[in-house]
Amino acid sequence: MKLLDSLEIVISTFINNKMRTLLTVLGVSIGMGAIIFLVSFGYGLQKLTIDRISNSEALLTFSLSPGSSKIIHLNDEKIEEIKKLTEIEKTGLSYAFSGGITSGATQTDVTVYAVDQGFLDLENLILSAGKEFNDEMSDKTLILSSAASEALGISDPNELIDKEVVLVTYYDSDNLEKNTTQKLKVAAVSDDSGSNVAYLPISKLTIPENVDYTLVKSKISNPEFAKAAREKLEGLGLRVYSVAETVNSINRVFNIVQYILFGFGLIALLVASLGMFNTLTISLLERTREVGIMKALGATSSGIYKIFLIEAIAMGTMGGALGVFFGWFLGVVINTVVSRLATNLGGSEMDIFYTPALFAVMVFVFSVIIGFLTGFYPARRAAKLNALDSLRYE
Amino acid sequence: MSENRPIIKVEKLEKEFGDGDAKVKVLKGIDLEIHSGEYVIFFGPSGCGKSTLLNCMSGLETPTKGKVYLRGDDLTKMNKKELAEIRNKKIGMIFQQFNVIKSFNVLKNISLPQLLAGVPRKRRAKRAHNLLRMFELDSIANRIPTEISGGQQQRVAIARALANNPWILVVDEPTGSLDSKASEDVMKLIERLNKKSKRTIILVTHNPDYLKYADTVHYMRDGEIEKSKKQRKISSFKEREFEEVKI
Repeated sequence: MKLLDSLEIVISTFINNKMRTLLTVLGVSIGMGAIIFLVSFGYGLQKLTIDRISNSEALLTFSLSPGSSKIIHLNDEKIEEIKKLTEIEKTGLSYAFSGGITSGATQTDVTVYAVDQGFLDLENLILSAGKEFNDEMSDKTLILSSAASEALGISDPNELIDKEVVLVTYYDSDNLEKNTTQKLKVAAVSDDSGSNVAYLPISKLTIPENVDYTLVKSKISNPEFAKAAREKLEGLGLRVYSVAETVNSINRVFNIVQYILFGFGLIALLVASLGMFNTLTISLLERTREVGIMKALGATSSGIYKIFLIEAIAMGTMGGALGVFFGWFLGVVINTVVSRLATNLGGSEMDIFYTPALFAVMVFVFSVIIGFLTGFYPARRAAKLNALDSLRYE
Repeated sequence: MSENRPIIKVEKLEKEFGDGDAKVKVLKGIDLEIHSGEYVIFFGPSGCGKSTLLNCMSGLETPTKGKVYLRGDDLTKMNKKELAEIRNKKIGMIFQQFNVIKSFNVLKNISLPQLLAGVPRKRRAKRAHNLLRMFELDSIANRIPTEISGGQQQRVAIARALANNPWILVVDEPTGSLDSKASEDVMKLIERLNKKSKRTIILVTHNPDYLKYADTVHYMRDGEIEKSKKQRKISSFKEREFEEVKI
């Protein structure tokens, strides 16, 4: 018997048992849908978190500091050595000082970052309001973190834009006399509620001699260089840190979360698989006589085996396809609703469900395999049935 | 009979069921020959072993002892796959319970033996439509068995038995589940298949009214052939007489 002919018989059986087939397929699809839905939730949260802390550019960026070493100085000489490395594409420089901001009657302490354009580019600030400063916009030269903005008693960051504040920068914590006090216009507020930070161009300050850079950022031109670049930078005596490390540990945590969610989905799938197994076994009892007739008319045992196995695989395939669709679709619906709610409440759009294509394909294949596994035993029993006994079966 | 070599030859056939004390000998050494184009009836009360003998000849039952030859090939030496092919192509089977498949429509039921044989779809459809026409089933081709009468179901079963153009039709109590009108139709149909298409008919019944159709009648009792009668060559079967012969 040909494969296509077996399929024809299976389709006839499905059509004749529409309700039973539909319910069984629905059972499998609920199990598969649960897995897709739950794990997509895990993926969504992971993506949301990692997108917050990094983008693809951030993953290529190293933060360099002298560490606790007193011998290593992060000065222009060192910067030249860093820039000579072939793996490094771009380098940004920054000094950090302590300081204070006064706006009207309120005052707050801040960490002042005096940065060059390269550093600002590599810092990848997420802005809640305004625009980053650049050389052309010389009159607006201050970026405050939202934490600093709140410390100044201003909850809506937009209010701060174009506002003039007084910034005091202390070059030496032992000698507060050495400072610069200046009026600056706020260009932007960054989305950082964790720390009081102010960014301004290096040119706005008079940096005393023999002060080293506090933090240098270097971007590699290709992710493949990461290992080599790190080794060379560490060879220069620098402490090297990359967001990639944080991302890796976050990923590890989310992998565990996904396994747990997958486990919950698996329970739903297990129930559905047992249901399918049960249906196939009962269906075999109902069709014992049919098997007898086919055998009497010249069906071979392997032909009967094929019919029952195809039936199970077909159910698994349909259940998988439907389940993947339902699971994905439900995620999309919730994403849309949540994003609409978030934008209505003044937040930004966000996807809390994310279904990677490869994962969807894997779940689908898994469903087909489940079909195969649950069909295996009933198919073997059907194939082994004795023709005459089956013909007498009522 | 015109041909010397029998189409079916049964030698010292024995069949036992069960084990130990529960062992029952259903066939106690049957010897017979059936020739091509012959209409043979096995007649006897229920439990005499006639159906078991029929099943041994169609390869559905494995005999305990003895041989069954089909055109010289020994069925008892064949494996399951070879027997399945014999049942598919060489022997058409018709049952008392019709045994049409309830989830298939009439057309699919009729083409099932060809589907099992791997005949291409187009040829299958052509053959099925020819059979539908021959048995006047065109109008119900797309109905499923529960929507048609018993007589129609049996006609479907007969058409199906002919799908692969077998040499032999093995018929087990074909009218046991039919009313007298439908029974008459079915018996006439089988008669026609024997007379017009020269097919060998092997029929099992306990209804003495049907004996008139046969060329040869084997009377069975308790697993043995009590006597065999061969019909004289008479043109009209209404006036048939039977004479006892030794086979």
